[in-house]
Amino acid sequence: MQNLPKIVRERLRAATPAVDHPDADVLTAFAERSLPKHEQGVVLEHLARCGDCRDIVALALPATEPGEAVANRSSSGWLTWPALRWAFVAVGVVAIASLGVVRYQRGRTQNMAASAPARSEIAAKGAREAAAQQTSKDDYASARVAKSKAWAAPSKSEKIPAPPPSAFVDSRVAPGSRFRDQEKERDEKKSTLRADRFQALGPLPPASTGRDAGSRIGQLAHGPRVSNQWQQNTVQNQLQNQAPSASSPPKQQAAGDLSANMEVPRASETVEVQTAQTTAQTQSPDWLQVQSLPAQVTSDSAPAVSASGPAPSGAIGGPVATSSGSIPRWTISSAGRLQRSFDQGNTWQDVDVNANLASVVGTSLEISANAARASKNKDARQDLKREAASAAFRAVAAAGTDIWAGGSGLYHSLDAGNHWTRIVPASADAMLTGDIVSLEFSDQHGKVATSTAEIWITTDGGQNWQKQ
Amino acid sequence: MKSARAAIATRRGHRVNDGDRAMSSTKQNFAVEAVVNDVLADLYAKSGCDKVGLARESFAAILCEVGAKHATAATSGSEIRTFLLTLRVDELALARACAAGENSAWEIFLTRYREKLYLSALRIAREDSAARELADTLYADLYGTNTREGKRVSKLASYTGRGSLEGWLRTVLSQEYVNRYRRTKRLVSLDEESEEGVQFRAPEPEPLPAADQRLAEATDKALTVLSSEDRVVLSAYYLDGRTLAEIARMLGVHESTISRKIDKLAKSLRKQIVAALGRRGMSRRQAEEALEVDVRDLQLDIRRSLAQESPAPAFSEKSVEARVREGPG
Repeated sequence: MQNLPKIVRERLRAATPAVDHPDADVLTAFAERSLPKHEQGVVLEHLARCGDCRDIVALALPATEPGEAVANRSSSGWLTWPALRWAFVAVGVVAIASLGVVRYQRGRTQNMAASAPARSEIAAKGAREAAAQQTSKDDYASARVAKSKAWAAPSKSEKIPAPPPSAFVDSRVAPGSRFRDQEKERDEKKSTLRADRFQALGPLPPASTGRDAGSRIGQLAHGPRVSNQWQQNTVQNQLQNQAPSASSPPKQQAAGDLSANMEVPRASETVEVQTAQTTAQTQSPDWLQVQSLPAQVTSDSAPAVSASGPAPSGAIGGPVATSSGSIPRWTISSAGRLQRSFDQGNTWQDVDVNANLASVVGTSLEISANAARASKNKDARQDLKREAASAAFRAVAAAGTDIWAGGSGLYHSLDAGNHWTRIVPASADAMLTGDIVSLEFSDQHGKVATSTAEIWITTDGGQNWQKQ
Repeated sequence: MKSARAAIATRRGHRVNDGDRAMSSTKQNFAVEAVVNDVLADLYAKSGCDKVGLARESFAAILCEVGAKHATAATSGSEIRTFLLTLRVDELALARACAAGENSAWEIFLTRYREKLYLSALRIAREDSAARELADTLYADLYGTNTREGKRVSKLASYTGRGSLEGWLRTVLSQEYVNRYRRTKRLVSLDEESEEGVQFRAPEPEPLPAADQRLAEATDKALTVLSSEDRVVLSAYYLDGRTLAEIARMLGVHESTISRKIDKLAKSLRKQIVAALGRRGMSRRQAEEALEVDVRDLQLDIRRSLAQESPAPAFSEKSVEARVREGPG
């Protein structure tokens, strides 16, 4: 703590009380904070000058309550309220921002469908607004807008910040069905567009870096078409363009995942396409040049609009890539199945946490498992089995290859979902009950909320748990 | 209050005399009485007077007294009403019934507060025999062993119900303790000082050299702009040696708030004083030198403050350190 200059100390001490000492009643009321504001000010002014009365107030303090002791003791902890409140604020801001964007995009959908001629202007405006609205995607959006004007520079996608791991889970998973529908539409549309696009491939430009190419592909997922195709599919595609673009906030974060950002400016991409098409046809060749797609095309369905693309819900299969350097994205299907995608969301594969269930960890679960066996309690055993089989998920948090998934049970994987450990948060006297409804994990700190309004905290990556 | 009334009267051009004052206070009493009559039924029900053997009329009189003590000529009827409604009337009734010597009241009081009284005394005095003495002394005061004009006088008669009775008891204990300790501590300090061979001189008003004058002025200016709360925090921390936790609890804020506040204040004070000194003609280097803590001068402070008659801290900086290290109560 800073030292106070001697002279300041002196002058503080030299101050004499302006009013008489407050009587015991007033001092008590002050200490218990039941004095009205102006009287409180008078007492404070006296206390500023009178050491005796300060001593009295200090001595008359009640004994420390246990609650206070806890607060003081853990003041250096990560999880105490003063520190945590900012985390909550951040989560709240992100949630609100993402919801706001979603609503805005939806609104734009309706506008677009309504007025055909004014579409381009609205679209152009929307592009600017959409670009402006992206919070954590600002860099990317502005880069995109810049690109539509001048395609010379290589992508600035490297600058896109990956969203913080712990912040996103709740807001993304909770309003589940809406996003999943949009995802479905998005994927359907993607397949349509891709098919169309390939019919008129222009010369491919030399891709500067693999990453750049990937990002550009992302950008052009609903890419610019050749004009004739475009006119044919205008109406349908616009409708489709708008709907999925509403799912702007990425569902799950994956550290360093470009495609997380890919979703967001989709609206602006599409809009720019329209703008470009209607205003400057000369730009088309540029757009077409920036394509290098083959690796990404995993399934070309029929160009029919309603073709069932690789929708996330229920799609099983596709390569379970254990290739190094490939970090999957995660989602939970509308049926509550945990899914991951190694191709930036084009295809999704169900993940069966029990296939490679490494172990069931958790004091109480082992105890109850043992108890079940020991007491030959059929019900308990069946419960466990049923739970393991159904494993309905409600939340997933992923940071690189460190995945947490929760639902009827809590599962943890350290290798991007190939091997799982079942974890049951338990402390000396309690065990987690209910379903898990939300997960927040960041570094070694995790917080799990259940449907029975319990909150469990870990500070060591899941080894030890405490109920809040 | 009287001076306020006089001031108002003077401004209005009236001559202030006793008659005027008496009349205004009577008027005020009437106002209070009116409010008391209004709320009496509610408050009487809340107070449990019957349990402690307090008559309704006595209770009403007590309310009038408390209301009048708090109200000034400027207090409106509604303010008096709000004030009365925030009182802890049940504890007030108990305390005043005890002060009047009601046995039933005393039984209740002893059951509820005897143990707490002793425990609080122990926390304050931190030592068993001193705590007992403190508690016993207070008991005597509360019971009313003192008599004035043949009438028993109890300290409980001065409880007005603005704070909790338990808190009031702690405060009274602390007041008693501080008064006692201050008296004896001074003697102890003097002994310590003479033991250590520090010269103890009679106080002489040493004329501050010119540089110090500017410094004192600049410091005073910087201090006056601080809020009272800021100054309380600084004084409690640097003069009284309170811990951050204690100060936080005194003011009802979080410990980290106090910590941040002190850091901020110490830094800004330094900056402001240097700036002010600069405006008064000192170079920056001179100013910063003037602000340096001079350890030798600390002893001078102690002597000076010990010699003062008027409010001075009981504890020298050194003793404060020792006391703090002993551990809090």
